[in-house]
Amino acid sequence: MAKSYDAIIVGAGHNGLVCAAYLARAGRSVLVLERRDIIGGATITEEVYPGFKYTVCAYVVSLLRPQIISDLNLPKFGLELLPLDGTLTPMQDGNHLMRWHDSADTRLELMRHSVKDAEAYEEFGQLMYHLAMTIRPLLSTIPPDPTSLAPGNLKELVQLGAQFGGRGEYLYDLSKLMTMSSADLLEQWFETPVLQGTLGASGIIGTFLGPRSPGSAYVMMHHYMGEIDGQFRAWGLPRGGMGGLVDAIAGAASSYGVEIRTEAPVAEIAVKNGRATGVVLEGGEEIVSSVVASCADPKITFERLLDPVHLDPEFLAQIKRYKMKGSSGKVNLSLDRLPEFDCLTKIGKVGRDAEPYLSGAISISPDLDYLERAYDEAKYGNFSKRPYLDIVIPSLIDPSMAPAGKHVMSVFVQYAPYDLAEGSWDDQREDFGDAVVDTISQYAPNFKDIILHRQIMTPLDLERKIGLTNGNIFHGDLSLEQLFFLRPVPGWGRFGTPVKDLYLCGSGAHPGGGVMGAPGKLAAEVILAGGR
Amino acid sequence: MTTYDVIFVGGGFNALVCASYLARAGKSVLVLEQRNTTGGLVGTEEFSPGFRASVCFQSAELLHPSVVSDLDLPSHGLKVIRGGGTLVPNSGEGFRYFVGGGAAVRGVPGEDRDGFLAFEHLVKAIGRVLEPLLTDPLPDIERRGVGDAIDLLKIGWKLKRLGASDMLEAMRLLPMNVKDALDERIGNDALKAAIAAPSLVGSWLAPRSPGSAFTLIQQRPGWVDGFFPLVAHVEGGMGGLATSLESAVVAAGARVLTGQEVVAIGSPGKRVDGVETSDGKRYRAAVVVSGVDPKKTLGELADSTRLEPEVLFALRGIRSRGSVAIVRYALDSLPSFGGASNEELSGRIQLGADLDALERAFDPIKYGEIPEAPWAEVQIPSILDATLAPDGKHVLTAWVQSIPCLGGKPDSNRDTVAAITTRLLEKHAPGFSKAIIDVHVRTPADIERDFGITNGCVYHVEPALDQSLYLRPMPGWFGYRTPIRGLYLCGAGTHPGGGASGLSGKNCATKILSDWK
Repeated sequence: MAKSYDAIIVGAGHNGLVCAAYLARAGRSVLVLERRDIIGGATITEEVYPGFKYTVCAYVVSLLRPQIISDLNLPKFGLELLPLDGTLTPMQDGNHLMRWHDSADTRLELMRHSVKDAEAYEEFGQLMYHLAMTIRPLLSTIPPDPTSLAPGNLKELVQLGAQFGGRGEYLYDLSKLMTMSSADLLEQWFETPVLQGTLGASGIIGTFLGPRSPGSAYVMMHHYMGEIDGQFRAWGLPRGGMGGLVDAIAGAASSYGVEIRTEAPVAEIAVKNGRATGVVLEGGEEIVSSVVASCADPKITFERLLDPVHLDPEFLAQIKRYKMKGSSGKVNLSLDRLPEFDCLTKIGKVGRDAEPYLSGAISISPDLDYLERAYDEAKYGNFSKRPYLDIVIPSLIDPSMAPAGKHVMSVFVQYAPYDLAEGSWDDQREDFGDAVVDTISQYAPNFKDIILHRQIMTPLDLERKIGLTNGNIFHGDLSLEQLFFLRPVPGWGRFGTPVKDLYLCGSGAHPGGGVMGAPGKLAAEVILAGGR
Repeated sequence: MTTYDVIFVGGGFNALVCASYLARAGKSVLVLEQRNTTGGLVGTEEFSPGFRASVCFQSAELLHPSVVSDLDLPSHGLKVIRGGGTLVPNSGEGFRYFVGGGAAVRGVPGEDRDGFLAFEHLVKAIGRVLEPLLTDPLPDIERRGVGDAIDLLKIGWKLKRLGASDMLEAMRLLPMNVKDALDERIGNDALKAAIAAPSLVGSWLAPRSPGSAFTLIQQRPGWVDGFFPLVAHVEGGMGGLATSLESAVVAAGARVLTGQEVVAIGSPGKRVDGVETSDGKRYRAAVVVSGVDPKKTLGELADSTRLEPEVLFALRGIRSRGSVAIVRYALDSLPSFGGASNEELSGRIQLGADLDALERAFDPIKYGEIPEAPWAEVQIPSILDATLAPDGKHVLTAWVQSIPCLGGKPDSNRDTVAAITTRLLEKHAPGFSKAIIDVHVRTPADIERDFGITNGCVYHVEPALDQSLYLRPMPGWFGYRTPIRGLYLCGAGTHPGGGASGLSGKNCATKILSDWK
C-alpha cells in the first residue's frame, strides 16, 4: 500500500510551506504538492532571461511575522533580508519627495516641502504606531466565533475585548480608521500633495479601492504594521530575491522531514463520508492523508478541487460571492543601465550619487487625485493609462540579480482590472506594458532606451501562471467584510471548512494577503489542536 | 435682560423639535433664528410668482412617528398626504415603478423577487436591531455605567436573536458597498439603482464606496415601509411641517424670534452663559443648544480658543462637503415620463438608470467639477397638493448630484446646474423644456449662503460609516454635549443625523433633561 501522510498541503506558496514546516516541527509527516516546476507560488525568483532574475510577483518582504523567522530559524537556512532604504516619489514638475529610513533625514526633506508637514509627520507616525500596535495582535490570533456562546469562545471574545478595552483611548480613532478613506485621513493631517499621494498609495495596494474609498485607511495601516516590524529587521528584499525567502522556508521544512513534490498538480481533494482523505493528482495518482490543507485560494479550493456534492449549496453560494477582484499587474524589466530620473539629475544626483535614491522603492504617486483618476478608469473596466507604480530595482540591493553593470526592475502596477470592458488581456497585454513604460519615461527620459527585455504580467497571466483567481494577489479583497472572523466567508473564519479534516492555510484565510506567513502558521496551530 | 433656561442658536427643524421637548418639560426656552422663517432646510417658499415648493427636503418619509405623536403635530396643523412609490428609468427604454416592500412589494421582476426579499429582510432586520440606538442617545461605552451596560447588553441580545446566520450576514453587510451587496442578489439594473440611490443622497458616496450599504440601512430604517415607501408629502410643502413644529414650540411656552442672527456663544470660564446677536443684543442662559452645524458652532460661534488642540483637530476632520443642488421648476404642464400615470408621478422619480450612471455622476465632484450627466431625485408635489401652483400648472423639485460647493462665479455655476438638470429631465421626459416657465437653482454654495450651513452640506456632516454612531460628529462626541459645558448640539450633524427624522433634536432634549438633574 502507498505511503500515507498525516497532512498533505495543496500548493507550495509561502503560506503552504510555513504551514508544512510547523506541522512537521510538531512531528507530523507532511507532503507538499506543487503544480509548477518551482515552489513559492507568488513568492518567487525566476531567471526569465539569461542572467536576469525577476521577482516575478511579490517583490518585497514587509509583513513576514518575526515569530516565524525565529521559530523556523530561517536565517540558518539562508534567509538574509537586505534593507530597502526609503521611498522616492518623483513629482510631475521635476521636484521630488524622498522619505529615508532615517527619520531625521526625512524631516529635513519634508521641511523643503512644508514645515507644518514635517512636524505633523512624526506625530502621524506615532498615532499609526499606536493604532497598529493595538490591532497587530490580531494577526497572530485565531478569530473567535462571535455567534457562539460556548465557554471557550466566550473566553476568547472577552480576552479580545479586554485587549482593546485596555487601549480605550484609541477605540474611537481605531473605529474611524477602520472605516474611513486614506485620502480623508491624509488631508486632515498634511498639506503637501506629494506626501498625501505617496502615503495614500499604500492604502490601495492590491485592492480595488481608490484613495477616496472608505476602507483604504485600514489597508494603509496594514502596511504600516510592516514598517513597525521593520524595526526588527523584517523589511526588505531577501538575498536572491523573493525566492530566497521561500528557499529558506523550504529548507527549514525539509529539515523537519517535509517532502515537497513539484510538477504534481492536484486535480481533486478526495472526500469520504464528509471527511477529506487525501488527494488525487492530475495523472490519477491517489495519495492518502489524515488532513488536507489547501494553500490555493478559496475559489480554487472549493469550486475546482472539490466535487460540489460534498458541499452545501449555501456554502458554495457564499464562496461564489467571495470577492476576488483582480486589480493589479506586474511589469518586470531588464535594464542596460540605471534610469536617469529628472528629479535627481536636477539636484546633481547622477550616476553613483543617484543610487542611494533608487535603492528603496520608487513610487509613482504624485498626488491623491492622480491615484483616484487611475482608479476611476479601472472602475469601468479599463487599465489606468497613467497608473500607480511601485518600483524596486532589486539588482541595486543584490547585484547577483543581474549581470554586472546591468539591472532588473520590478514594477507593481495598479490598476489593471481582471474584467475588461472591451477586448481581452491577450490583446491588450502590450498596450498595458507600453502604458507603464510611458509613465516611467515621463519621469526618466532615458527609460525607453535602456530596456533590454520586459515581462508583462496582467491579471490574466497571474491567474494562468501563478494560479491566483482573477489575478487577485491577496487571495480575496482585503475589505472589512472579508477580514477576521468573516474571512473568507461568514461562519468559516477559523481555518476549518465544511469538509472535515480540510483546512485553508493560504491568504484567503485570516489575516489575509501579503508575504506574512500568518495564515500558514495559524492554520498549523488549528490543525495541531485537532481542528478546534 | 431676561434669563432663559435654554437658548437655541438657529431655529432649524431639529432645533424646533428639541425646543418643543424642552419647553414641554417646563424649561423656559428662547429660539433665535437668523432668517425670517423657522425650519431651515425644512421649509416652503414661493420661488417664482404663484409657484411654491419645499426649499430643500422634499418629503417626510423618515420623520419618526414618536416625534409626531409626542409633540402632537397633527393638532398643530401637520397634514401628510401619501403619494406614489419609486419610478426609475429602465436602461433599455421606458420606466419601472416600484412600491412598498416585503411580500406586498410591486414592480420587482419575478426572477429578482427572492433576492430582493432576502436583501430587504436583512436590511430591515439590522434596522430593527439598530433602532434603539437611533431613538435614544447612544449608551456610553467608555463610562461603563450600569444603565449604559444594560443598554449595550440589550443590543447584543437583539443581535444574538437574529440567529447566527443573519448575525454574520449583518456584520458582513455593514461595511460593504451597496453595489456589491446588490450584485450578489439582484440582476435588474433599474431595481438596483432604485434601491441604491437613497443610500447616496446628500453624501460623498457612490455605489462602489464601502459604507454605502450602511447609509442604505439608515435611509430605510424600521419605521419606513420597505425599500419603496410611499412619498409622505406634507400639505403646503415641507414648510407645513416647520409651521406645525413652531406652533407646538410656542404652544409649549417657548419664545421664537426670527431675524436674529447669533454671532457669538459666550463662555467665560468653562461654561456657556448666553449668546450675542448681530445687532449687539445679549441673551443669557445656562444652556445653549445649537442647531447650526458642528463646524460652524464650535469653530466660529463658540470661543474656539477654549478648545483643546485634539478637539480642534477632530473638528477639522469633520467632512461637511456639500454635494446636492436643489433645482425647482415652475411648469406650464405636467411632464410625461414614459407615459407614467399620475399615481406613479406622485412618488419619487429617480433619474439614474443603473449603478454605473450613479457612479459616473459622482466621479467629477472628487476633482471639484460639475458632472455633465448628474443623477437626480425628482418629485412633482403639485400633483397631490393644489396649493403649490396655479390651476393646471405644476412644480417639480429635484435633488441633483453630485454638485460641489464651488467658489468663483455663483451665477455661472447656477446656470450650469440648471442646464445639466434640464438636459437630464428632457432626456427622460421629452418635451420637458417647452413646459418650463421658470427655474430656480440652489447650488451648495447658495445653500451655504442662504442657510448658513458649512459648504452647503444638507446633512451638516456627510453621511458615512466613519461619521456615524459613536463617531458623529467627531469621534467620542456622540452625546450631544460639546467640550464647552452647557453647550449642546442638536442639528443633523449629530447622531443619528440627517433626513428630517427629528431624532437628533429629540435625543438631544433627552440628554439635556437627564443632565439637568
